[in-house]
Amino acid sequence: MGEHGDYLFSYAISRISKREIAEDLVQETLLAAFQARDKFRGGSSERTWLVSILKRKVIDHYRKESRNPESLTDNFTVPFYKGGAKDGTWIKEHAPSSWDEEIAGDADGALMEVLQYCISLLAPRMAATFSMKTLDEISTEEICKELGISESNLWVLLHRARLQLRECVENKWFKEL
Amino acid sequence: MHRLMLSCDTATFFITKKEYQKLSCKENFQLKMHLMGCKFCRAFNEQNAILSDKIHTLQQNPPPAELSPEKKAEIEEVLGEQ
Repeated sequence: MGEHGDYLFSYAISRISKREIAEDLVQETLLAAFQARDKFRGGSSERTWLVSILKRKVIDHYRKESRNPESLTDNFTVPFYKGGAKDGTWIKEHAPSSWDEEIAGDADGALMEVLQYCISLLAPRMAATFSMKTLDEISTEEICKELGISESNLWVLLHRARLQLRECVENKWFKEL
Repeated sequence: MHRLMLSCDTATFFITKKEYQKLSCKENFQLKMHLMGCKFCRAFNEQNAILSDKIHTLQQNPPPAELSPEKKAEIEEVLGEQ
């Protein structure tokens, strides 16, 4: 279990930023796998099989979290003017600055750390939608079913997640430098 | 004329959407037109691509992380009880 445990945890923590929850899901995965070990036919690798169990548990977690009314609140600031002549245009403070080449190069993985940190700041529903759609490429229908949201909700959540991530990365990156 | 032009809100919405799904011809065209005239959305488009690239890496190779020793011990114990 040693080698798999850490790998599964790496996988889980990149999807669910909260450490304790990620650890619990890994534990549940290993336990479920152990109990079902006779069913493992050895068709795929052991690791792939474990990851598929973990994926399922991650989705279950998102679904339960989505049922919790608290998860409906979000901390998102709309970066566009609403109404008036400037309706729909960028608010200056939130508008993209130009990024230098360094940020795209990122040899030492600093950008990856910043990105993970920014992902951890996403409100629960945004994080779940973003993770399922972007990281695990789960179908729109399945995500909508699991989270109990409409397709248009899903696109709004993804839009907001991307806006928030971009702004967070920019703030964090330029502040660090 | 004004109604044909996208707002930045909608442009960034299309930029997000095209990561996951093909835009219609009309949407693509409207987006191209908007990007030609809007430096902020051009920047958003480039930056979104950079982030998507990083996210792709995250997906393929999650950065290594380790279970806490306490958790490892707990797992060993639980499996041992089986």
